[in-house]
Amino acid sequence: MSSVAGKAAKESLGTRFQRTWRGVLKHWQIYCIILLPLAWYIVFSYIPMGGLSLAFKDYKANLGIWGSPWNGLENYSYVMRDPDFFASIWRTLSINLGRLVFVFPFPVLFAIMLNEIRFPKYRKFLQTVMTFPNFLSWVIVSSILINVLSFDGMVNGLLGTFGKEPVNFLGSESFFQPLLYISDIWKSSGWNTIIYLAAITGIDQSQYEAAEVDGASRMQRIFQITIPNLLPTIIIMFILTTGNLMSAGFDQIFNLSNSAVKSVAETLDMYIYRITFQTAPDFGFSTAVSLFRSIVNMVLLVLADRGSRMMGGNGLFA
Amino acid sequence: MKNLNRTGKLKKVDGVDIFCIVILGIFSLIILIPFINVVMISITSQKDYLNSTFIVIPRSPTLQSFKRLFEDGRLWSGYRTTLTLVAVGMPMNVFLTYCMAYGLSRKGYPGKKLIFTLVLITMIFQGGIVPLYLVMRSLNLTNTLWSVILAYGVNTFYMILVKNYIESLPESLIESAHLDGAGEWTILFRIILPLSKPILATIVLFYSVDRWNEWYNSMIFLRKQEMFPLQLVLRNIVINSEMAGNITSSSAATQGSQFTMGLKMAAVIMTMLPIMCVYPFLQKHFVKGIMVGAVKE
Amino acid sequence: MSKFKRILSLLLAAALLLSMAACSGGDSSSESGNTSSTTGSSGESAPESSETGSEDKDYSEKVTVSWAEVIEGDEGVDYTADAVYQEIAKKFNIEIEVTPLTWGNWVENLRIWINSGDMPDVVNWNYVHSEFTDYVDQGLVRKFNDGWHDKWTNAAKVYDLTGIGAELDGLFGGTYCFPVAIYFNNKPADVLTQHYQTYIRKDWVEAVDVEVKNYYTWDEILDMCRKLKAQDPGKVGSGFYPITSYSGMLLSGTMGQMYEHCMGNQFYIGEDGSYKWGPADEETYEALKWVQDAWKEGLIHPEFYTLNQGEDEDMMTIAGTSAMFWAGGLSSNYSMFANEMSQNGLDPDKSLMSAFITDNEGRYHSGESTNYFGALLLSPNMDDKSFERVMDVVDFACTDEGQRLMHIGFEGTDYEIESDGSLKALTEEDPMSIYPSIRFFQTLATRGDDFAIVNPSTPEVFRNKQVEQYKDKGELVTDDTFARINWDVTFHSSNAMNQVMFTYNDEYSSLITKDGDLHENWQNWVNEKMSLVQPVLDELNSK
Repeated sequence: MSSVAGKAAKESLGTRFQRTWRGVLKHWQIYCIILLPLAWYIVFSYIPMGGLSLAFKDYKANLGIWGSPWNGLENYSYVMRDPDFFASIWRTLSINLGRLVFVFPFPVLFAIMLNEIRFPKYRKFLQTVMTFPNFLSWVIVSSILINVLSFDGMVNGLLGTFGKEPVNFLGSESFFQPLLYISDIWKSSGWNTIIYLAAITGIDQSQYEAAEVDGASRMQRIFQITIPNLLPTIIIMFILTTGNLMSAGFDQIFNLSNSAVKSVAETLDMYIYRITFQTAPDFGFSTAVSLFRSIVNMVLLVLADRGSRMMGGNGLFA
Repeated sequence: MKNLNRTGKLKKVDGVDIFCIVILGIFSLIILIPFINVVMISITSQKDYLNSTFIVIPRSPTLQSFKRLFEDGRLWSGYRTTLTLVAVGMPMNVFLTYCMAYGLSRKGYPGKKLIFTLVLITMIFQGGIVPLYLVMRSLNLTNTLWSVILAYGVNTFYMILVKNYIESLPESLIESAHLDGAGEWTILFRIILPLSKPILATIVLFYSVDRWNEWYNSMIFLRKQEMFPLQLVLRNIVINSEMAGNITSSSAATQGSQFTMGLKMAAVIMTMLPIMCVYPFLQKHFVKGIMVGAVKE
Repeated sequence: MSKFKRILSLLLAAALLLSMAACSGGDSSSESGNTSSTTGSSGESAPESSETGSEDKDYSEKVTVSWAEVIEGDEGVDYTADAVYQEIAKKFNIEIEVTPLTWGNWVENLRIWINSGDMPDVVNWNYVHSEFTDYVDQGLVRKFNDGWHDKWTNAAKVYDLTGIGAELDGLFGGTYCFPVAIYFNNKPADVLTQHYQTYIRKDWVEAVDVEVKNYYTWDEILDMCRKLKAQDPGKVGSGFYPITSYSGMLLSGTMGQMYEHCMGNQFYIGEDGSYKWGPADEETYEALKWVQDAWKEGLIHPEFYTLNQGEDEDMMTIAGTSAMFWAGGLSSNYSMFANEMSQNGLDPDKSLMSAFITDNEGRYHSGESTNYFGALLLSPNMDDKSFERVMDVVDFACTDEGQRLMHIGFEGTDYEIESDGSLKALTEEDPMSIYPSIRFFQTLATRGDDFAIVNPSTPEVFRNKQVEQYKDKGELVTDDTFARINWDVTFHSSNAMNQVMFTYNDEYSSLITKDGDLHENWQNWVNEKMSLVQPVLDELNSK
């Protein structure tokens, strides 16, 4: 009995291999097309990725990454001892979940609104202006913010004319997160609109024409045509954003934070930066933390992907 | 835009119009006001700047900050390097991305899911700068522009955008081409490419901007100053003006400290100006690409 | 189509080959590093090296070395075009490929280059002991040939004056770095205290009837600030906050001078003979309290934590909206602030003064300042010939003659030596604008602080101030208030030690600005940090 079953399995393995091989031969041109990008991924992403093994190693530069001795979970035992590490994880999640709720919808809204503006010149002007801030680095945005929000800045000046006390925006722990969201919307939502605008332009025009014939109002057209057509893009963006929850926004937080809000600003990336470049270096230690971050990101990404498919949408692997 | 195309004339302005115009108008104002400040600060003297309250008004406009930037020998070579990076790097980025996206949008060949998973993994797991440096060194690429160009090949995020766009195109196009006996290359370049113009315009823009803003890899991989791209040059100028004379003593710091804020803002203008000149032009293509796509459909 | 395929497969094969090379390449190059360092040690025993005096050296063969260091005020100029560089290049038949770094990127760049085994021949590196230990253990830096002390006596003299040099020789059984000395020929005082000074608007101080002194007690400083705030002699108005330092300098200048163990030297041996952690001491709390009270009273800029380096000082010297700030007590700083003031219509003689703070009993608190900042490391791939040539240049940089050439140019055209030995500048122009390579040479193997004391291109009055503050501070420190360098702590390297390298400035500003009771917040902070600090204390105590 068992030998027969084994034979059958062998056969099916053989036929499976044959089928695969036939598939490969049939589609050889596709493999050719992706060959160059794939080679790039291998050389410049996968080979360096071997460096992640340092999370379980004691890095010795003379022995190279591969030759360095393994030290098991020792790096992690040091990570686990640091209370700042755990605090930074929760902080990162809370900040970036907030981003998902408060920042993520803006580019979608702006794209739909821009699409509804029927004066081409004005529309083009708005679109151009809205992309400007993306070209400013966070260093600059931060000095603009300090300029605007400090005690003698524009906002407090306005509050003053209404007889209000000046508000401490920059050094207050409770204002820090809203400040992150607002500055993020200010800087990048206009730019991210481009992705959705490109998706809107891909919508089949006949759908709108048919709706118009049916006498649908503008709001109905937005909700019944524009948004459903945008949904795949929104879902992809949502999944990818979720897969980045543990690492988003380093540059922003690095530049907007100051020592007064230090206790609410140290996200995991800030923590990694601190242990990598501000104290004595230990590549094993910092790689251990980075690897941890990546694994959390991966779990979140897979969850978001599954979630979106369970809701009936297309996942990443559509 | 679309409404205009369709009917050829403007319809009555309704609530939706007013709402969109007002909201986006306010948002644009909030963006423009700080920008005016940026320009003002760049042409203000330090004293005027320090004594101004919330809006900077240059009482005696000066081009000192710009002069300081242009006195630095590296600015022009910075422009040259950056233009090279955009001219060589961006087409490579777009080509690689487009090929990969097309390959992954096709269905029914063995290993597709595996390859896509492997590609996705690179989005989440990165080896870090030291391993990448070791790779560059063993390829003898350090201290050449190629290291900077090759370090950024495919942005997986953009690749997924393109892939999804291609997938949203009607399947029947490819099938009928197959029936006509067209190979994948023909389909890719003759059929899919013309239809992908909007998304291609988008990633051309994205990659150009990424290349334009490139500085970190250059800082690590390059050592010769005359090879530094614009952003790194400007960064070094600004950082040096910030730190001058404060960490250790230089023997003769006879000149006063630099007006760092003015320098920063002048640097912003110097990097943005070329983009602002090119952007409307790109945007035109952007719109054209959209129209072509619409007509074809 | 098949042509395409062939090309593509070729390309892939090439890519794969390259990637294999990437894996193996690291090993082969580190091997070559080892071989060259072994030839180094064998070559060093050659008999010709016993000759002394740089005049008899054989410079017939030209040597090229790459040399990376932070160059202040680097303007992308060519450092090899001017006469100073030419003079040195000719003298030693050497070509130096300068790789300029900035204060913003030197740590990161050097760390990556050294750890990748791809460092320039010579780097001027920020000294971090645990990192250095790794580099030596792994052969990532070149050993200085044994016996170099006897061969390059000028360099050896400066090396010994850094204090750390001899210690390192003992620790590693040889020399692996050349610490960059701060003071050697013109040491201003026997013990080096920290150089933080507060720069004050002298005319305002006089206007509110406070005595102009070289140092004030904490309470005197606060009183002065209160009077300034109340009387507002500069008519600044409602937004007048007398003290405008950015957080790093504010805390180093005040807290760091109120308790010697709260910022540097935080691990010290207490009275019971065991190691203590200074930030947990009640004295640290008192210092925190002092700053917080002054801040809450409106004597310190309310948003000091948003100020950037340089902005704080501009408020006083350029805008005239601040009465004092802290900065390094260096003649170059005096001179810079004075210049800024005179450019903005203030007479620095009348309106600029500097001082430091003592405790209310008049004692000055400080940690001992190390006499080095950074160190030269050599590439393990450097051959003996290049090593000797580099050492010749370093040795020259440690002589009076070399210092003068590398800071102000040529005798007769740029300066002359007066009969009393002091220097006199012959040109009004800044030597650095005549000879851009001075920017590179002035920190080649030593810091500029030493020469700054005799540099004729800085007015004498400012140079005297630099010396004066060291003398005053030296007189006012007592054994109780002066934390000497503890080499055991400096050289203690362990994972636990790496984890306690906190940025104390940030930690303290955060405590000062936090809502709630300061003592409670501080206590909580101490308790939280103790999980990381205790292992270090245990390690130190068990030594």
